[in-house]
Amino acid sequence: MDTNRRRFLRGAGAVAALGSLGPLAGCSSSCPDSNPPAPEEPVSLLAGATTPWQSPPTGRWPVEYGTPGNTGYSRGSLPTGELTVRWRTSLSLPDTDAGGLSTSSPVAADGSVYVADAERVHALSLATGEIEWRSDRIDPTTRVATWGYEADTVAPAVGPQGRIVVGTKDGVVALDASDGKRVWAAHDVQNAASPIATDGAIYALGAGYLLSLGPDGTERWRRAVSSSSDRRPPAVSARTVIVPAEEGLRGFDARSGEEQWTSPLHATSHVVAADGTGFAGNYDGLHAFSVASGSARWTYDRGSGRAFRSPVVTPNTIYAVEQPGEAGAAVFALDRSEGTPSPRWCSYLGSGTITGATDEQVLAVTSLGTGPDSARAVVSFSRTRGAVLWALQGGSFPRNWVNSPALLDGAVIITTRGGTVVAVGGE
Amino acid sequence: MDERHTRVAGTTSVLAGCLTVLVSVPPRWYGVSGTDSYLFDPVLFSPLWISRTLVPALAVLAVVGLLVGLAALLLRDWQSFGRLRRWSALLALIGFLALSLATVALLVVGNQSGTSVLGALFALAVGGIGALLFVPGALLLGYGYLRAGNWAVGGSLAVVPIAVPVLGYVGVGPASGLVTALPIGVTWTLLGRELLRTDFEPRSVP
Repeated sequence: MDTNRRRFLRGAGAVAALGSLGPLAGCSSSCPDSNPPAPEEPVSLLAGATTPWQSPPTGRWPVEYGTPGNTGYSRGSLPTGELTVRWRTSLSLPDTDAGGLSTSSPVAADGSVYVADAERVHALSLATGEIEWRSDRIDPTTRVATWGYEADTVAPAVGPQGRIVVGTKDGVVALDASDGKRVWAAHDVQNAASPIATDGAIYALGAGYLLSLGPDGTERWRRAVSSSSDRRPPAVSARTVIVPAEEGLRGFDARSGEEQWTSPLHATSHVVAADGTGFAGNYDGLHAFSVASGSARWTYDRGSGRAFRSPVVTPNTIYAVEQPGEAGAAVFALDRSEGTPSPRWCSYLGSGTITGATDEQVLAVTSLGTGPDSARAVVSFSRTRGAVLWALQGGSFPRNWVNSPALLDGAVIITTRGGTVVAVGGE
Repeated sequence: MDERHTRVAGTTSVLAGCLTVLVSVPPRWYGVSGTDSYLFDPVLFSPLWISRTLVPALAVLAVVGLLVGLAALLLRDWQSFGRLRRWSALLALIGFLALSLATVALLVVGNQSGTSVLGALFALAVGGIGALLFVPGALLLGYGYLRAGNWAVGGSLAVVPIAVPVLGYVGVGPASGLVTALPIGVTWTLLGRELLRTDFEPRSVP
C-alpha cells in the first residue's frame, strides 16, 4: 500500500511539474529572433537641423490606416538610405486627463497634413510644416491607449469634396479643408471612431451604430451594431463595410446598408479588407475570410497563447504582429503570393507594432535600446529579408512617444504624443 | 568486435573528430552576415542555408561518429579493464550518450521555426546529467590508460572533460565555439588513430 502511494505521489509530482511547464510553450514568441532591432544610426526626430523640401512629396494617406480597407499600404516608395528631417512643428495641445498627450496619428493629402488632439484639428503645410489653421473646438473621440504605440485621439480623415471628417464625442464633424471651418455635423452617433471616407460616402462606427453619410453629411443609412469600445474604424471595400462587432464580424452592403453576412469570428485587431479578402487577428491566429460572404479562407497560427494583431496587407505580403501571452511581440512577414500564407521572416518587436508598408518596406513602432535609455521609434524593415534599413527615434518620455506615421511617396510624417509633428524624407 | 569493425570505427572516429571542428567554424567565416530578422527559407546552398540546414545535419553525424569511436574503444579494451575501469567506462559511455542525445535534441529544437521551450529544457536536463556522468568517467578512464602507458588516449581522455568547459567559459569572440571544439576533435582523432593501430596488443588497464 505504501509502495503504491509513493508511486502515485511520484507520478503526480512528475505530471504536475510537466503541467506547470506546459503553459510556457505559449508564453514566448515563436519567432527565433529575440533581439530588438538595432539600427546603426537612428535619426533623431526631436533634435538637429531641418532641411525643407524644394517640392513637397506626393502621395496620400487619407485615413488612419492608410486606405479605406485599413490595409496600411502605401503605393509610394520610401527612402532606403540617409534620412533628413524636413520640418518639425510643435502643436499647442489642451490639458487633458492624459497629461495633455493627446496628439493623434497624422493623415495627409493634397499638400496638407491633418492632426487631431482632444479638442480640435490642426492643418499643416506638407511642404513646410507651417500651421495653416486650427479648427474650433469639436472634441474628437479619445480612447484609453493601452499600448505605447496607440494614440489617445482618433485620427481625422480626408473626405470627399475637400472636407476633413472627424469622429467626435457626439457625432461626425466635417471641416472645410481650406480654413478648418465646420461645414456640417451628424450628431446621431456618439464616440465615433476615425471615419472611413471614400469618393461617395463616409462610414463612421460609433457607440451602438454604424453610420453611412453622404459627402454633404446627409444620412444614407444606419445600422445598430454592438461594437467594442476601442474605437477601431470599419474596413470598407468597394461593396462591403466590415465591422468588428461583439457578436463577431458583420458585413454590410456599402450602398444600401443591408446586412450581407455575419461571421462568428471575434476580431481583437482592426479588420483589413484587400483584394476581396478580409483579414483579422485574434487569440486563435490570423484569419482570412471572403469579403463578399464572410466565409473563412484560412487561419495562420503559431501555437496556443499567441494572438495575432495589427495586420498590414500589401499586394505581395501580409505583415502581422504575434503577441504571446507573457512576452514581447514579433512581426511576421507572410508571403501571400501562393494563396495561403507562408512565413518569409520574423523579427522581435517587444512592446511594438507595425503600422504601414510599401511594396519594399514595412514600418514598425517599437522601442530602441533597453532600460531607462530606451526610446520609442519608427523602424523600417526590408520586405525580403527583414533587414533594418533605418530608424526615426522619438524619446523615452511619453510626450516623445511616436504614433503611427503617415506614409507618402518618399516621405514619412510622424507625430509624437506631446504634439510634435515631423516630416522626414530622403537626402 | 573483429578487426575490420574496429578499423571502420577508427576511421569513423577520426572523421567525426574532424567534422566536429568543421561544424564549429563560425558562420561569419563562410559568409553568413548578421541578420536583423529570422529568415524562414534561406536560398538553397547559400551561406545561411549551409549554416541553418547543412551544418546541423553534419553536427548530428559528428555526434554519432564520436559515440561510435568511444564505444568501439571501450569494447575493444573491455576484457583488459579492471573493475573500477569498467565502471568508469560505463559512466563515460552513458554520460556521452546522454550528451549526444541532448546535443542532437538541441540541434533539432534550435532548427525549428517554433522554439519548443519544453524540448529545450528537457534536452538541457539530459545534457546536464550526461555531463555529470561523463566528466568523472572520462577522467578515471583516462587515468587508467595513462597508468597503462597509453599516453595519447589517456592524456586526451583526461584532458577533454576539463578543457572543454574551461575553454567554453573563457572563450570570447566569434571563434569561441571552434576553440571549444578543438579538444574534442583532437581527442577523437587520437582515439581513432588508436583504433586503427595494426600493432595493437591487449594490455591490462588497471
